[in-house]
Amino acid sequence: MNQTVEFKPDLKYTYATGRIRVLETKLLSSSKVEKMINSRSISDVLIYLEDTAYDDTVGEMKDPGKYGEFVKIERLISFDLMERLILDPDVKHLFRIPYDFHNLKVLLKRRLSEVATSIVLSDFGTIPAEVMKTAFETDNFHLLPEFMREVIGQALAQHYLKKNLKSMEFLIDNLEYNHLLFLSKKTNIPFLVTYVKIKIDLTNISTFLRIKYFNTKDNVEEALIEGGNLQLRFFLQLISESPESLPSFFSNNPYLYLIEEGVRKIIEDGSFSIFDKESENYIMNYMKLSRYVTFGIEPIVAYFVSREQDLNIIKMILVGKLNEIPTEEIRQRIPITFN
Amino acid sequence: MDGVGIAIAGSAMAAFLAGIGSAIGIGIVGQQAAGVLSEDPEKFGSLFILVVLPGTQGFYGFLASMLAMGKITPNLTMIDGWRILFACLPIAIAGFVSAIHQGKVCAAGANLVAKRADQAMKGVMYAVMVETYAVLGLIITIFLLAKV
Repeated sequence: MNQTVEFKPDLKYTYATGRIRVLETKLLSSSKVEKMINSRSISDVLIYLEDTAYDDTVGEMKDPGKYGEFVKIERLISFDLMERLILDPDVKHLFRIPYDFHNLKVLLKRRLSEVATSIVLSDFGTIPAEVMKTAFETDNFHLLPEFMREVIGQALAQHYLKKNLKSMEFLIDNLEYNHLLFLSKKTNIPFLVTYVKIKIDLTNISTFLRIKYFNTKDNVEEALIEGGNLQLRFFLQLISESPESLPSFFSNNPYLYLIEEGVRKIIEDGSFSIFDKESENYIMNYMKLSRYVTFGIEPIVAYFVSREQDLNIIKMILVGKLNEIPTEEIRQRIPITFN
Repeated sequence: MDGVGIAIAGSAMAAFLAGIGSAIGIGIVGQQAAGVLSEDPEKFGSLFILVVLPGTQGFYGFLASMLAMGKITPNLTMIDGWRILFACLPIAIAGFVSAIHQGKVCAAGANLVAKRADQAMKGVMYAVMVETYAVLGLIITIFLLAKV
């Protein structure tokens, strides 16, 4: 992790930081995750979640197969804590808006595609899922905030122009990250601006590798998102390069390790699992920088992101155990934790 | 302003500057400790010493102020008035600045206690390092007042 960032101490968050420092101790540790992976049964996995931040919800979980419900309840707890501890509404929006865009994509697909989508709407956005649904059913888009109306207008125009759902999705992704970057810059917190830029870079690298290795007909320029640390022209010059030579182009930037590891596995068997895992690890290592902050918003954001990571890990282990996936295979896909 | 007025100003500065510093310092670490306690009330004992540490500068300022007041007589010359005021400055300024910084070090110590309560004394030791400079300020103020 070569990523550097400037921290701005903020005395508004002294109480919150103290509270978060205790809560951090209840996040999953690497040793606990290892024990969960090595568990013989699902009930053993759940035993290891006792004395963690997820203790109460796990205690009430009757059927491990309903892990989706567990994740939903825990996510509600995360957002509730965030609402109470974070004073800046733009920061809260930064983490809720991706759910708005998720809902938007689902509703647009339902409207424009002939194939019915079974993906459910999320309740974690800034706009209630019911309001979005009503807006689409009644064509009354004035129920939605102005930024969302603009996104819908641009997305529909793109679809009518290109007659291609994927192209529309790329545009929505672009608009989503542009909005997130705008919000992060508005907060004037360098940690958040860098976080969004890292997310853009990782999304771009992932999109680029997928287009390149799966040889899709997608337009690279259309698929990549502007605003990250890596410029679009950097990716365009790599289009004709061989897969093996790709890491050498990243030798001067902090993503070298994840490119090396990810590309090696992709060349080996076409699997993106290591790349995806290393991307998660990269973000988590970035979040760990918040340990050096005595008081500020950074530890709260890091706690929120780490909790999400924990939920993903628990979900992956439960799914793995339910489907009797070999332990080694599960281990290979599990990213690092905050502790 | 006569010598008495100048000396009173010096004595007041020692008390209120060091006192303000302590109030700010305790305010910082107090909030952080309250955050820790809201999740883990059993850490009260380990946190208490960290919360009170930035308060000592206020006492040093109070002590220096009392000593300065003892030097004030009705026929104090202007020169002696200025001497008392300048003698009060070391604890007034060192107390004000060190109390705020000590509050921040103690807040970092409170974070340490949040994770490792058994390491609380290490956090206290770092905070005591900051205290040294307030103590030096007080000693100089006492010696200078003795010369008036």
